[in-house]
Amino acid sequence: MIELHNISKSYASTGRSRPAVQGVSLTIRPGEFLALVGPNGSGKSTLLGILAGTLAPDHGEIIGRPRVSVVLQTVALDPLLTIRENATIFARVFGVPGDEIDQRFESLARIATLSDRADDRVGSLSGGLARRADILRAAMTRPELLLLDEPTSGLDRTSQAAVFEMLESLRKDHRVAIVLATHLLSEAESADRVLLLRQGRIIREGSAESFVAELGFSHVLHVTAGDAEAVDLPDAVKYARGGEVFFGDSSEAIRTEADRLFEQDIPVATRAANLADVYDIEFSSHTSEVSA
Amino acid sequence: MSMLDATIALTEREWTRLMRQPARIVATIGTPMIFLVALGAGFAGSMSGLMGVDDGRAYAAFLLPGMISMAALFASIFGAISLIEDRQGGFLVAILAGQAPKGSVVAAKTIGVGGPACAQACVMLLAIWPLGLHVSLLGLLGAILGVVLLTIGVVGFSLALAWRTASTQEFHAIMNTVLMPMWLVSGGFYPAAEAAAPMRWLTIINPLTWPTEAIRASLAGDPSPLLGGWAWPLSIVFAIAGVSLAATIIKTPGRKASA
Repeated sequence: MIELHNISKSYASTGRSRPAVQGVSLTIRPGEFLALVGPNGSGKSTLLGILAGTLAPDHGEIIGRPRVSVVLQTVALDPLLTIRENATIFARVFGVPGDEIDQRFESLARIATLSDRADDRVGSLSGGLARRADILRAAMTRPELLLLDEPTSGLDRTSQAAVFEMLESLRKDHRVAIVLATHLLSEAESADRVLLLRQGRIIREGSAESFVAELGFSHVLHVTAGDAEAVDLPDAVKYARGGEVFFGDSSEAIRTEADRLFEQDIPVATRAANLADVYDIEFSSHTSEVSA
Repeated sequence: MSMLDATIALTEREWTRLMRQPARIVATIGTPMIFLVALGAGFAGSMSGLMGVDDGRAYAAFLLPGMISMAALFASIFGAISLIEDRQGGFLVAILAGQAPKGSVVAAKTIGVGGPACAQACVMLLAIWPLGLHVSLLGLLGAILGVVLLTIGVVGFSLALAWRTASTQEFHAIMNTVLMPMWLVSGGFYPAAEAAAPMRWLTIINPLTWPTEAIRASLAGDPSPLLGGWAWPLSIVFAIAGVSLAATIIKTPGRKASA
C-alpha cells in the first residue's frame, strides 16, 4: 500500500541540523496494525508526518499514496460545531458524495457509540468522547491508512479501551491499515508489528510476542529499589524503572525467589514478561546483566 | 475531490463558527459604530461640508469609510486567528494530510473569513441614511465593491501573517504594532489630501488607504481627493497582493506539522 525507502528528515535547530528520522525503510500492507514505539524525540511524530504527506523527507523514496487520515494528540474538531457537523464538513472537503455522508456518519457513530451525542457540540464532550468523535471524523473519508499520534493520551482506561474497540472495528470492517505512535506499551502489544525507534532509526521490528520471546526470560520479579540488594537471582537480567528494580528470569527461578523473599516479609511482585520489559531494556540506561 | 466543494464546505464551517460567536459579530460592528457616533458627534461642530453634507453630521459622514475599513480589519483579524487555532488544534494537519489541495484552504479561508468580514463591513454602509449621505445605486455598488477588495486584501495579509505566527498572543502583538497603525494612517480620521506633506505621503503609500479611498469616492460620488483615479487600480492591486501573499506563504513548506 505504501513503501518508504531509506527515508531521512532533519530539522534546523539553532543553526544545527538535527536528524529526526534516519534511513527508515518500511512497508505497510492493507489492514495491518503497526505500532511505533520509542521515547520522546525518537522520530515517531516525524515518521507519521512523512506518511501523512504533511512533511517532505530530505532523502529517500515513497512508493504508493493511499488515502490517509490522521488523528493527532489534540482533537482536530471544532468545539463550536457538533460531532455531525464536524464529520460532515470533513467528508465534504474530501469529496464524499452527499448521499453517502449521512449513511457513513450513522454507521460510524454506531461503531463509536456516539449516536445519541451526534448533535452535541464537541466543546461539551468529555475527553474520551471527543477522541472517539475525532476518530469518527477521520474515518469519514474511508481512509486506507489511519495514522494515530498517541490518541489515548490523557484518557482514562475505560475511554482507552473504547478507542481501541473502535479502531479494531474499523480494521475488521473496512480493512483500514493503522499506524499508531504511542508511549503506552499495552496498546502496542495488540499490534501486528511493533517498530522500536531510537534517535530516528528503527532499532527493532517484529511482533510483541517475538520481542518477548527474544528477551531470554519468561517472568519478571520486581521490588522497590531499597529491597533490590536482598534479591538473589544471579543469572537474571536486571533493570530499573522509576523507583523499582526488575529481575527477569525463568518462571521457576522467579517463583522460588519470590517465595524466599515473601518469607522474609519483603514486598515482591511477579508477572509474565511483556513488551514493557523489552522497552525498558532497550531504553533504560540502568540495564545490566547480573553476573554469577 | 473538487476544490470548489472543499472551498464551499470550509466556508460553511467559517460561517457556522461565526454565527455561534455572537460576541465576535457585536465587537466587529459595535466598535466602529461607537467610534462613528462618538467621534462624529464630538467633532460635529469643528468640521462641516465634508462628503457633501453640510450639517453637524459631516464629520461622521467623512468617518464612515474609515469605520467600514475598521470593521473589515477587525473581522479579518478575528477570522485570521481561527487559522492559528486550526493549525494548533490539528484541523489543518488533518485536512492537509488527506491531500486536500492547499489552494482550497487558501480559497476557503479567504472566502470563509472574508465573506463574514465583508458582510459585517457592509452593515456599516447602512449608516449612510442616518448620516444624510445621498448615494446613488452605482455609488452604493461601488462602495460594496470597495469593501470586497478591502476585505480580500486585509484577509490575505492577515492569513499570511497568521500562518507564520506561532501563537495568538504573537499575532495580537503584531496586529497592535503593524495593522492598527496602518489603519490609523489610512486617512480614516482626517482629510489626508489636506494633511502635511509627510503625513500625506505616508497615507498615500499605505495600502489600507487605497480601498478606503475607493469607498469614500463611491459614497461621495467624486474621485478620491487623495488618490484621484488611482484609488480603484490600487485597490485591485491590494486585493491581488493580499491573496497572492497568503497563497504563497501557505503553500510554502516551512512550518513543522504536528504529525
